[in-house]
Amino acid sequence: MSGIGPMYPNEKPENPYVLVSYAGHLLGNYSSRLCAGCGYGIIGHIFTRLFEDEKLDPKLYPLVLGIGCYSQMLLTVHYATQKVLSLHGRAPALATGMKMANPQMKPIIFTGDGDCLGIGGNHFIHTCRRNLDCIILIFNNSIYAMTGGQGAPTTLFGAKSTTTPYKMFENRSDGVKLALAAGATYVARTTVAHPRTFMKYFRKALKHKGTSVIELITPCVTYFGRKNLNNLGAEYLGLKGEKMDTAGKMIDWIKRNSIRVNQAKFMNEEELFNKYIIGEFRYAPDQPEYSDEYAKIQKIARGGI
Amino acid sequence: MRFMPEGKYLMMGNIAMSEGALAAGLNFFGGYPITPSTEVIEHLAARLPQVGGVCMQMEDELASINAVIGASLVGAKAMTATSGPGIALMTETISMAANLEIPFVFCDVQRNGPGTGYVTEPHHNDIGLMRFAGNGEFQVITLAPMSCQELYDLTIVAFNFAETYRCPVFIMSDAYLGHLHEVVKIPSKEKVEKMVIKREIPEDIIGKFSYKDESTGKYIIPKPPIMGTDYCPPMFLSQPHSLEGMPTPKPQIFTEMMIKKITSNIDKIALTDTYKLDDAEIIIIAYGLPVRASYRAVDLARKEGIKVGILRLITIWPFPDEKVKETVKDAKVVIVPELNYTGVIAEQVERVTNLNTPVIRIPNVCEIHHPHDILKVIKEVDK
Amino acid sequence: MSWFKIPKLLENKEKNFSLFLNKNRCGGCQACVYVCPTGILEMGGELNMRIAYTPRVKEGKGKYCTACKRCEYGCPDWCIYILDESEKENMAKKAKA
Repeated sequence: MSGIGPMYPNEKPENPYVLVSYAGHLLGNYSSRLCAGCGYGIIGHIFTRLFEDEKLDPKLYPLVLGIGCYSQMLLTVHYATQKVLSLHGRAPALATGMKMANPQMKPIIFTGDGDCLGIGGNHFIHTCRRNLDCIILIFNNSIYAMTGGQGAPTTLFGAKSTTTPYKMFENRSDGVKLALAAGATYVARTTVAHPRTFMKYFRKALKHKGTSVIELITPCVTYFGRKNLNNLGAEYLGLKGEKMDTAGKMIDWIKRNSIRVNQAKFMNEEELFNKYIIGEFRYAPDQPEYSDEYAKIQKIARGGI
Repeated sequence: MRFMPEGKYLMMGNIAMSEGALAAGLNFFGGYPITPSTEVIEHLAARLPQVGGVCMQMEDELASINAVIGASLVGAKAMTATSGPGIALMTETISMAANLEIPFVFCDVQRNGPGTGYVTEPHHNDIGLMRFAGNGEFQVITLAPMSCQELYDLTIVAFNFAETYRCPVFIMSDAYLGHLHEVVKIPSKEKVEKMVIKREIPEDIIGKFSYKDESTGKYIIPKPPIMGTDYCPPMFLSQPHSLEGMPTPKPQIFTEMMIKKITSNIDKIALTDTYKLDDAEIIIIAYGLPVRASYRAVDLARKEGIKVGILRLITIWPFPDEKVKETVKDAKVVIVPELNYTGVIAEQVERVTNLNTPVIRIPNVCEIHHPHDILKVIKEVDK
Repeated sequence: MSWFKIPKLLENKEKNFSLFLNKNRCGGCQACVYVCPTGILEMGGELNMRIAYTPRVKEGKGKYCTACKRCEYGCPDWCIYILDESEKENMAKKAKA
């Protein structure tokens, strides 16, 4: 992180939330160092805005970031947040330790699709099973972007990546279904093309007591968009797609490729293939939360009932 | 009641260590059942909630060490206990914790051999793994108790080392020592509380990570930062970082600091013990269980007029070079009984004496040394 | 085109807000063009300091902007944003200073 990013003359009136971001606060002017059109810039921006508008107390909402392109969000998130860069895939386990040692905290975990469903799958499953009070944000750009565009557990069938040069032939894993099966009590998926729904879900997750899993479909233009055609989700139509080489085309493709939960009920298997189903999948606010249950155990251990 | 009432108790080794940890102020334990060290998590699962702490059995060793790191970041004294295969899984996180200078205590109840091995047999084979636990260069502190009483006392010392030097601290016990039932004398509450270094926010908040004070050349190790308070750097980045946690352009200075902060305080860290060493010509250097057999062997040999003494290493890493060099310089021969075959510490002794005094190994795998084995070697050497 | 005056993409007198674009920081990713529900933006012809084409408002479509701020949320580089001239309680006033 030696260079903080391209610096251009500061123009007035500046976007108010730039100065709230960490690097903006440090340098007075900042633009994210991510590729043009990357979804993480959008998410970092929205997170900073939410952190500022909700007036969250930085001491109670530590950030645990996994390893990936989104690790650069250390610079774009709110300047007052306390951030830990955990190991690849181990963010949910680190957050469990933090939460249990200081039960007032509610860790916010940034993980990627490879980070959470690939190497960190076991920790993700058990954090959801325990219904620990934390927010797990899974950024699904269906590629290992930081290391150069390798295939990920969530790469779409038939997509090209550096480790699947011919065609991705494996079945893809679904973060939401995994979270539902593991027992997370608030599961939702949205895309970066719907920024306001992500803000709505995030505000709901902040108030929800228990594990809330929000999966976000983000475009990765440089490694996924440029190498794949935009008929990925619509094979059954037999269209001849074109390369999605700009973020606009990818956001357009994401919008076309994401189906609302209720709408998906009326679509058959062939139409739903390679599609993202967005919406809220489960909201069970009154499930027992892990740290409360452990407080009861502590009471029993001290002789109470 | 965090402290057991003062008195003598018959305790298993693993339980004595858990009680030592509780006395030292433990309030988070993340662990996973693995044969020689399950008693630790079983005992703490009952005891920790009583003192308001948290004992979590995680889904695997990786999660338990990460939970320990997370808890230690937030200001809890944290510990984990595992065995050979567990430490192998945990090495990546140990090296991250060493980089972020997160204090934690790690008990390795060693068991036999590579792979699964005989799970209930002692075999000091993880010593190298503890020294190089994880990628990257960093220093660790390893303490080797030899009895249940020392398992209790050295755990308190381990927590104090962890708090002051903010590096991974290992307690090296093994399958036999962990399951040994012995009398342990528990000191009074006041005495223990005096010994323990508490985890609190210092008044003079000078810095968050260790650094070298250019004027004095000494290494300043501030108190560990606590997340969720003001005494916390802006980010915990496990990359070469400056005082404030921001990345530095010169990683070498950071690596030098990581190593020098321990080696420059070696006189305070390296604990050793001697036994009839003043006029000894033959010196036994040992640690852990073999020390008990060598006490008996030395007594028998002394009766027959052979001048033998023991230098007992309590701190294995960092290896006390000066103390060993000073005791061995006029010795005729050095005998190193060890519970492994290659003689990991014997190699260190050879390095220190640069091979002018002969070093004789008494290797034993999976069984404890019998005093007569050591006595036989002493007699041969004495001729 | 002076460096220190942000080009005002559009001005809505009655609702008293205006859409700003920090031209030089724009990376030319077209996210705002596709995120805008009323589709009033299109990619412009000039290059900025990052050698990228910056968005502009289509001819005569300025009045359809409803200040839904989807483009503001969807911009990764904080370039395009709506500022209300009317009294705005949180951050916007501070930025004006």
